[in-house]
Amino acid sequence: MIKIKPILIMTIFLTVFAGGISVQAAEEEKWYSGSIEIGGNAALDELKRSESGAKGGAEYNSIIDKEWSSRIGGTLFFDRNDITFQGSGLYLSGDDQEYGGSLSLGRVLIYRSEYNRFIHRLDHDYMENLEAHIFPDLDGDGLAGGNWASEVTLPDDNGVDGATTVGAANVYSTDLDPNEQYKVIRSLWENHVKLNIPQIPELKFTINHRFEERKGHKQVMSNSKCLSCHVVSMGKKIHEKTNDFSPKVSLRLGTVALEYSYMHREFDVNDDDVTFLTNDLGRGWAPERVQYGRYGEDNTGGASYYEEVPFSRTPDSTKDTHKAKIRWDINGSNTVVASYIYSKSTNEAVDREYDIISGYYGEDIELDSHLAQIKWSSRLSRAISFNLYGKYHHLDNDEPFIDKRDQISQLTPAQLALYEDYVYWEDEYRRKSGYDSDKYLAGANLTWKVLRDLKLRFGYEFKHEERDNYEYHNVPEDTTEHILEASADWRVNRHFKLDGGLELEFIDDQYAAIKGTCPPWGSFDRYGSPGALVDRFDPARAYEQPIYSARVAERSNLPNFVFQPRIKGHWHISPSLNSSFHLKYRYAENDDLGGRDWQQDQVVAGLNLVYTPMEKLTLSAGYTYFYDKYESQFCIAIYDG
Amino acid sequence: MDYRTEAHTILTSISYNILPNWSISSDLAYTMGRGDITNFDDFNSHRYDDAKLDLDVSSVNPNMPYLYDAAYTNQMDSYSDLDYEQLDFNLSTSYIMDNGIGLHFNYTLFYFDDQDPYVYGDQGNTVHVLSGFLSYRF
Repeated sequence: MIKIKPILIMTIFLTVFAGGISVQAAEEEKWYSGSIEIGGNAALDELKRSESGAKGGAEYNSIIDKEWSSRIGGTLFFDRNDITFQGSGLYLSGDDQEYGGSLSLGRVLIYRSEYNRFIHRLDHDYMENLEAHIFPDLDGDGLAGGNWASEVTLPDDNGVDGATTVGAANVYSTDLDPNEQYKVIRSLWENHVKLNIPQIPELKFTINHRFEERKGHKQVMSNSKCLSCHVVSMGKKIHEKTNDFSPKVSLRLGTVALEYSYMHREFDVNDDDVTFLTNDLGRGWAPERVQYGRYGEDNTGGASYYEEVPFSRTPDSTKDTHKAKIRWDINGSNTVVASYIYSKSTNEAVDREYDIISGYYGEDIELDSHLAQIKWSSRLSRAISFNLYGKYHHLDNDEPFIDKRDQISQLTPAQLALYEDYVYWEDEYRRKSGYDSDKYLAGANLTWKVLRDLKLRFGYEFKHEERDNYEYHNVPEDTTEHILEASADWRVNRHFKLDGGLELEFIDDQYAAIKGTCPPWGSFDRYGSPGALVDRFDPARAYEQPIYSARVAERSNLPNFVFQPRIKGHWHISPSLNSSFHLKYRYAENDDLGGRDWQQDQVVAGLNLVYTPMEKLTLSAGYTYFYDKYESQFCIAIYDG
Repeated sequence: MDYRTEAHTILTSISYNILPNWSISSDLAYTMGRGDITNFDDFNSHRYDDAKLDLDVSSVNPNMPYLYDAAYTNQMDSYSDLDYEQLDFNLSTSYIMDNGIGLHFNYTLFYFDDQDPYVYGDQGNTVHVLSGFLSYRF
């Protein structure tokens, strides 16, 4: 109850204070209006430090961090001499504020601005699922028991060698910031300026500006020097700023409207750098073995050689977008809209002196996007109208040059020849992008008003995607989709209205991970057995050849068939009681995966009631049911070394 | 295996103008969510066998005689379990005087019960927030 006291004291004080203001304001001419609000919040049960608290009411709530916080807000409006101003603001805490306003000068120049800021508490992954010691040292002698049970020393939370366990098949984790509560403060400031020229009403200029900032700490994870069996997490300070400037000009010439806009985006990152130390990278079985270019490490430094490897970096980038649009109102029944959008996105964090282990390629990486689309809308009669539309999208990404450090291989030419077909096996190559693709879309829909109270709609859409570098990413070369839709909107009577429809999708060669699962019999025997070839590099020690490239089944969580009916209705039961319901079912499957099918059943249903027994009283109630079931193949991960 | 998620959500609200200048309103949102894996046993019968998957390691670990034996991974289906309840309740009242001065009080309860915490720890929390403020319209 102590926390309630400041609210009451402040409320009484402000009542007296505001009462004085009201007398003064009433005496003046009323060309303005507004409001102020002052008060406070008391968090009667603040968030415990032991609670990660990233869910429920805590996730976006700033005021629960303190027992007491203020609440200050207000609005202001005035209109005089062709100058109109409208503004509002609310301050809850340093991490929770919002303001907005607009200013119009004779409706020639209109300026709008909005700002908001809020907290987002992020999850803290305690990595409890990363503890798999399949060979615990149960007999306590600390000795390895065989080829797959070599001794492993686990670092403790300070990175110092700690307990010893036995077993090559291990995965474990260390949380270097176990008590950290991660959060990000996100703020957004948007500005819009519009210029109308009274002498040329067909010409308009607008400038939009958007500034977004994310600041705080988040959890980052990587491997430790012990590679993939040891996952380490820590906190990382992040500070990202996104600045968009978007001028636009539009001109209307009779039945034709033209529009051009440009957008320049700067994404700047001032995060802390995080690194992990490596040594003996992937050295394999024996210290004297020459390692083949994993991470670019040459392993010439010996067991005491460490190298810092950066991880969890977000690159600085820019984006420039040009958009041209034309709309032609051919007549009262026909309209054509066409547009072309070109954009270039540039990763600016990689143009530094070539250093592949740090991800520097000596040049920027750019992604070009070309998008053209057109739509024809026509009303054939009062009862029938249709739309025809099409779209083409081309993406082209740079291919950075990868040059691993030269390695010494002691394989014979005949042995090396066994591996020459594997894409990323070479020392030098161009990394092919999965973005490179061409996407086509064409569609049509028809609306037919059969009766005064019955409207039918039919639609068909064709999509086709071609991927340039499908073989490098083990995905299908192209995917084709056919989408059919039929729906009806029926006003049964004055009180009852129904809206229902059915959508069917047929997809050939859905996007999937080819060779995603199921290595064939014997794969793990082919994967290097320690003890062989101890004095030279052995490609069979890598997973690529015996396991990854040998897998026989595809995996995907996307369907090649979808059946999706839906219905919703509104029932005006009585003058004081309204109801609505909705039901949507989705069945999706993919039976083209070469292994077990993937299947989905989903139901979303709901009922809403609004009861207004008298003008002063409104009651509402709603219920929503959500059910989603996936059937998929379960694949167990194999840790071996 | 099947992974199933299910959620029930109830929303209610009431708004009552007791007097022309005095209103009271309340809203409640309750969600109960569940998630689990079923038919996990299929894993045992449909796997692609490999020497290391059934390797006899009894000499090293008599308590787990066969490597990756499903009998020793029988808790995996519980890792993805989801079981939570979320309740957001709000009660507010406003009184506006003839001179434009208003009094507003608001009580909010945030309740999240995480009954099956896993990698993110127990995310449950209960927070009561009481707000009061004065407004003046001019």
